Amino acid sequence: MRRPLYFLTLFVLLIAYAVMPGRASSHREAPLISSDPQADNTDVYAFMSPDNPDMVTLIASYIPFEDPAGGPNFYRFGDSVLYEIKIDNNGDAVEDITYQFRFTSVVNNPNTFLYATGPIQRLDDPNRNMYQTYTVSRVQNGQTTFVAGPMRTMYDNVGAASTPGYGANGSGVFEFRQADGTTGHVFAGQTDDAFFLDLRVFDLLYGGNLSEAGTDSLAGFNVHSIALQVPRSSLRASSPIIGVWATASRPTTTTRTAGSETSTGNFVQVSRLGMPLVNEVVLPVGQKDKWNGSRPADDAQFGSYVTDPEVPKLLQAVYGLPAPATPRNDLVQVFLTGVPGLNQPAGVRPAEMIRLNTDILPTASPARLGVLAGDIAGFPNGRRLTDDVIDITLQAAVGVLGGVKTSLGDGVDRNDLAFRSTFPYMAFPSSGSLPWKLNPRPPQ
Amino acid sequence: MHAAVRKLLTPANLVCVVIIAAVAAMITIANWRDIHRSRTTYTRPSLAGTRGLGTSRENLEARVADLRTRLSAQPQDAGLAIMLSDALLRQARTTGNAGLAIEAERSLKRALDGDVANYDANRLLAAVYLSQHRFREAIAVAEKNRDARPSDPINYGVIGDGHLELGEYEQAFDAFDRMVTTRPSAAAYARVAYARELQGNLNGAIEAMKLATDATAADDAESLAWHRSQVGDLYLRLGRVREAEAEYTAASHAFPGHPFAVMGYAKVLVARGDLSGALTLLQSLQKTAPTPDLAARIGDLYKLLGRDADAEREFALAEAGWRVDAPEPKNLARFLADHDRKIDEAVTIAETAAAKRHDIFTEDALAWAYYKAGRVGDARGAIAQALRTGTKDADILAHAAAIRGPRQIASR
Repeated sequence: MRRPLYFLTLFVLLIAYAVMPGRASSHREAPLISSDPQADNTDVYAFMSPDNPDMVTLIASYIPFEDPAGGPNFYRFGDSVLYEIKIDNNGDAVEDITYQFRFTSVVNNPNTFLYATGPIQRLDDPNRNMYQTYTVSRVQNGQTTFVAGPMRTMYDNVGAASTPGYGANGSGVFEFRQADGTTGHVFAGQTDDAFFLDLRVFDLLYGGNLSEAGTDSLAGFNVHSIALQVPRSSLRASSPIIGVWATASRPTTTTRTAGSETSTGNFVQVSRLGMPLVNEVVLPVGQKDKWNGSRPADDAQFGSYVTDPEVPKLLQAVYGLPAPATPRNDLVQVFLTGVPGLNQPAGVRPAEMIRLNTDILPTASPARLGVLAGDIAGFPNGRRLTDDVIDITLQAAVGVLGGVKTSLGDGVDRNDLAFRSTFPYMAFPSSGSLPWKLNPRPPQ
Repeated sequence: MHAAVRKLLTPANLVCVVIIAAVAAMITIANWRDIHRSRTTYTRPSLAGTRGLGTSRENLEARVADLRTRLSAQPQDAGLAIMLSDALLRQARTTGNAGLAIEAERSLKRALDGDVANYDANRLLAAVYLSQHRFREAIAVAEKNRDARPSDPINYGVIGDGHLELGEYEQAFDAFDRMVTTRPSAAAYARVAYARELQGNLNGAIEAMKLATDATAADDAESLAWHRSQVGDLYLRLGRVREAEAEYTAASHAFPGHPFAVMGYAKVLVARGDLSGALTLLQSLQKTAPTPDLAARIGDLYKLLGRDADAEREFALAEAGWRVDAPEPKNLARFLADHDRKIDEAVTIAETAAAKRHDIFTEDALAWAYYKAGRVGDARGAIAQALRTGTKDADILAHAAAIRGPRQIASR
């Protein structure tokens, strides 16, 4: 009595196949388009430490849009990624000092996918089932010196049950001694995303009403941050001004490896970040891949995007704000050379990086608009967590440095969470007990 | 007024004129709106798996539904068409429903109508062609894209995939090497892994596929499941069943019910001798993502369990499925040869396929069909082609051994 059913099934399947001409079945179609958030550097910060004016704090954040409720696939640094923070201390656009960070994932019990097998009360809690350790090295004059490690990263803020009293049970901050005898601090792990802006500002540039902006699009999202704090003496050469940028690199490999399975040879740089908004505002979309693989020393190839940028033209076309005359030497100072008398090293070679004058002491009450508001301890002299870089950049784009009066901005003036007063200064990550931010519906 | 004109201005004619004028005005306004719309409305695309846009089954379903609605309201928005196509391609892979790829192609073509040079649309179009096994077209579009933007690694991926499927391995491996040195990524590592596997370097393949897993975004559940299933398959090939199982379990954890993970887990059960467990798993998969390959595997399991009638039913399903699955004739040929059905036809199908592409799996199907047809000499020529990359594919090696036949040792 199975035959009628059999023919029915056959018929249904035949119809199903017939209406799907060209169906793929055998070849494996590896995903083609994949993002790489572990190597996606969201922001770099460089500032004199407010609670310790002799120390420089450098922070690089990765993995944009971490949804705090993101289990069961929790976020982590890439085990095969080489993370680097680079410092040029003589203005020649080539790094003189590099701090390298390498991570290793560990799973205590491979028979469970749980991040925590019970409440996590400290960094090395046995209930912390999945964790990462990391090491820090310093490269100078072609020599690599081991600095610190292996240390555990700060654990994620999974939620009230898994990570109760988050922040009260260990800071994730380690102290280390450098080869020159000085002492530094390092932190790696989940933090709040310190950047604050209304992301719609990028869409509104293309037509719309900027006054609609005003919501912090990154409120409630976390990132993974690497933070380093070292005495300025250990970074400077003869000039007090240092240039800072961060990179992420992945090992290259080859299809043809006769007799050898070893694949991890040279590293290829897949991300580069110094000044904020360069990728979003200064560079056209088509240049992004090229930019991420490039070195500051070769920045002359991108020069026209700064001297003759797109954004002021858009602002003029859409909002009627007159675009200042080109070439924009004011923007060259902000993005490429530093401002003379403030953060421009002598004999500077134009290159994009954050330039910080380590002789300018931090202020007790930082102004949101930094240098534009007369606070020379802020952006674009370095970048503090509180600096409103969107407003500063928009105002710079329409020519505020050339004397144009404007109050252009995105309507978001500060981060949704308060920054901490001690290293690593960033706010604690939002808790995974909060409702989903993205899922199941993607943002519009 | 001219008499002739006055003669035309009868009340009846006037009504016609007014109607014609009104229609003309409506068309003009509509056109103007379209022109206006195409100039001003362009949603900047953000693709699934990037910037917090998850790729779980629910993410993809919600995204496709949402984008379809938005695109039908703004059919000229190329950005929306690009995003929809991207999500559809992802969905096509997890459901086996290639109708989705056709919908993707249609929306991309519409976007390109208004803007032939749209880079993002062309970039996805090449991927759509690839998924439809239109390899030459895919390569042609991707080569144009590569010339427009040499720093974009994806074009090398499409070019490599296309050549790979056609059996043009040197060109394929060159493209993958270029891809991974331009920008190492999960997509590039996965291709390096497959290239190594084809050359018989299974440990090297595992190593590269693990790099791909490490480079996959935590919220790109679909890619994660895909990469881990591949690592599982590689372990299985090396007989490392426990490690394979761990990979399939992780894949299923990331994307519950991912077809590759279910298929892999069934293979683990077979390796452990649990045939009925494997059968149950595959039957559940058949309900959600039926393919001819799956029916053939289920048939094989029935056969092993001694349920010949059930096996025959599945084999008939598989054969019927493959007959309408025109782009993959080698699968039908292989299946017919494997199961001793219509051997002459298997030879014809394999010969036709091998005239167009020379990948090792097509050559293997041809060799196996020749062998079953008793044409051992022809089979030897074809199996040599199938072995030319140094593959350690168990089926190909088994076919090669059968074709070579036992040899008498010369002297003792």
